[in-house]
Amino acid sequence: MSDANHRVILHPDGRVIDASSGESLKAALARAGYFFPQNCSGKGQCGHCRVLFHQHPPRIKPREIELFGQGSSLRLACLHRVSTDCEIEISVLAEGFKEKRLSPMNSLKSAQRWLGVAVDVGTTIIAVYVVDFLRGEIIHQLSFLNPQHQFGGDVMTRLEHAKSPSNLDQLVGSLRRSISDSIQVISDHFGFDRSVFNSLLLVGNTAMTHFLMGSAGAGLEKAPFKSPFEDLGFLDISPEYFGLDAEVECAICPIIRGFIGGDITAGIIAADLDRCIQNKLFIDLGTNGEIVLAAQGELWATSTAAGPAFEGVGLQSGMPALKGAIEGFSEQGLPYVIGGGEPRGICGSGYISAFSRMLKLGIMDETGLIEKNKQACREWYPLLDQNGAIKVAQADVRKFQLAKGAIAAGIDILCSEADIKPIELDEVMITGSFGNRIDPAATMVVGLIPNLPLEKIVTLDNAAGRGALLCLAEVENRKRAVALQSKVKIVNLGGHPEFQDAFIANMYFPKSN
Amino acid sequence: MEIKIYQDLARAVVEMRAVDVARLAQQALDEGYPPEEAIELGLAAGMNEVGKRFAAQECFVPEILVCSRAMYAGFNILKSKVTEGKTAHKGTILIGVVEGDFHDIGKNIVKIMLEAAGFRLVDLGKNLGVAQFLESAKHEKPQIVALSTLMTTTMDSMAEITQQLHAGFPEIKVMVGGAPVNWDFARSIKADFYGENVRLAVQGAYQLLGIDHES
Ligand code: B12
Repeated sequence: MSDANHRVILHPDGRVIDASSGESLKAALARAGYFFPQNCSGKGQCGHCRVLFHQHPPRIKPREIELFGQGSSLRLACLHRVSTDCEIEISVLAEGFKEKRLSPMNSLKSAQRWLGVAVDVGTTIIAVYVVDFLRGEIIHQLSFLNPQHQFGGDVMTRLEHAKSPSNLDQLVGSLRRSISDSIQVISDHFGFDRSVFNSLLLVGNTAMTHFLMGSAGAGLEKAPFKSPFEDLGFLDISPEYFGLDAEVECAICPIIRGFIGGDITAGIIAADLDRCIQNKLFIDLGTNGEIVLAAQGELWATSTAAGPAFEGVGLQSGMPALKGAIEGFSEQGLPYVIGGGEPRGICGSGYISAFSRMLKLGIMDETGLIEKNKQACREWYPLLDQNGAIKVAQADVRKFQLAKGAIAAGIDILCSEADIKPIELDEVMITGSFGNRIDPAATMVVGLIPNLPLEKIVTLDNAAGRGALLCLAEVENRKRAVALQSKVKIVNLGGHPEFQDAFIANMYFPKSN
Repeated sequence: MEIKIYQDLARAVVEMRAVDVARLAQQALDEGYPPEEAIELGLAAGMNEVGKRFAAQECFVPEILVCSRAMYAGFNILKSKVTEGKTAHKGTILIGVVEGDFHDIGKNIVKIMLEAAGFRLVDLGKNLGVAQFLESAKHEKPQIVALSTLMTTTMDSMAEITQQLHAGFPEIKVMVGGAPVNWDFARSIKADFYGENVRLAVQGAYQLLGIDHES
């Protein structure tokens, strides 16, 4: 192979990017600023880096036949190297990612501060909120893709990557730089100088907290999952990393334990769990599935590691909650498509809705077995007017059963530790990457959460961001956050004697549908 | 040779009827059928069918466990009566989850299926380092060591254990599995076999020991 450059033409806008011979197509696209919203770090598993070849697609790989069928011109960018000029179309791009927008909040007025910035450093999406504390308003907000995404979609891959010092520099540098850049963008937007910001508070899971601090997070990737930051309260960090003056107050929200991060600390504050007298359950539904239970004035927390199925990763028609994703189905079975238009795939909330329909229609039994259809295949096509492009396969149900079984088992075990029954819950609060898109009724039909009266289920958009803003506003809230480090009782499900039975029992779907 | 009581045993295992399995096992003994044959052609054949269905995704983890409970109901009755001079097993397998990892459900069901297929299983548990594997390999003299891990971050621990086992006990075969593991990785660490699911785990064990088995 020569190292001549090839031209990759991107449709429909006709942009041309250069790629050197033998370079991975995904890497070439990333260099040109095209990141894919979720990824499995180039193993061909998640199927999100799909591109459509306009002519002469490269030889199809087994995984692609599985995903797209033999005759398809779709390919996974991570599996192919560029060896000729080509013309492609990218279907799911990070551009359409879901912003973590916050609706207006109360109690942000504060005499203690003037203009402050809170940053929710998500594994996938980073959101920046600027608050005018005199008026108590969010005056600007913006979200962008976490630049670490190019090194791996999930936390474990990034921790693994961080084991080499030069990789760590990249992970840390790109993260801090992206936040610094976004603060610059905001100052430019208002036409004022960065020096007007007099406080910055960052919040993230434990891995993000470590990366912000410049640490590789050694210990977070293996049992017993210890972090050195567990009892240190708010972590001071130099404002200079973010282009701010040295005297700007700059900190990261306290983490609670190696697998319960500052995002959960902030979430507890936002949901007022530490002050409630009722029994409340808080679920951050995502890859890690953190669960917090407030009961009888005490707090318990755990992490259940559901896997990425709720984000649509690894499921045959799965895609993140972006434009074109089916996010749910109506009572009649019509799809709700994000952004309208043709459906391109199904996102996590769409799957929950689909599984709930399959149970109700008797297409699937409570063990998760799909009734055999005419082709002797265990598959279900949720759309009537499509030629089978979007489907639910038996393997998808199995992956979902693992994810939902883990969450539901976590809930059962927390309740049993607190000595209450799931039906004694006064409220279940769902937050997380699709927290407010989810259909509460469907989550109960599939048995993800306990069967409760519908009005007891609430959703909360970006609890972590909200909590960070509250901590920024009031010293009292910061004290609450610090107190959580010793107040929350941690339940470790790894090695928990009841976990296996609870997990297995919850893999089944509830019977009475 | 198809014997009705063995077929009934197998069917009762597949259909999760523990009480019937126990009853049929007792009946087989009373009627003078060799217990090792009832285990192999009845119980093991039933679990083999369950494994087939699992691999075809027609059933899932809970079914394996429920069927295995039915299988053990019969196994416990037959095991103690195995005819003298006949060994109750086809070989010894040491199984465990590698250091740094607590995920043990996959390991647990692999163990059940191997036991059902007639191997003697020594379960070391989870979060185990090189020393524990070497120590047990010395005492138990297994033909196979089966390693499991579910996390990408603990795969290097699997590599290390495999290497040390091969160095210390060249005659022992190592088979590996768990969600992030694949054949490429298995080859790169010089493991002798990789199994994607419980069914392949059983086939792997037969293959490594050179036992002919139609499935
Ligand atoms: C259940 C679960 C847990 C339980 C584990 C309980 C237990 N006792 O095992 C709990 C909740 C405790 C847990 C915790 C964590 N988990 Co977890 N967990 C899962 C989950 C949901 C299912 C795993 C499972 O049991 N599968 C069912 C079994 C039957 O399948 P299996 O193990 O793959 O086994 C099959 C095959 O692989 C094969 N096989 C297995 N072993 C062997 C061995 C041989 C020799 C052979 C031949 C075959 C074979 O046969 C089996 C059947 O066919 C997965 C996600 C997912 N959806 O898969 C995450 C997952 C494995 N967990 C993960 C993580 C990161 C964690 C945590 C570190 C997260 C955290 N920050 O809290 C913790 C720490 C765990 C610990 N303390 O060690 C990650 C791993 C990611 C990675 N790339 O490394 C996953 C993939 C989720 C994710 N984030 O994507 N988890």
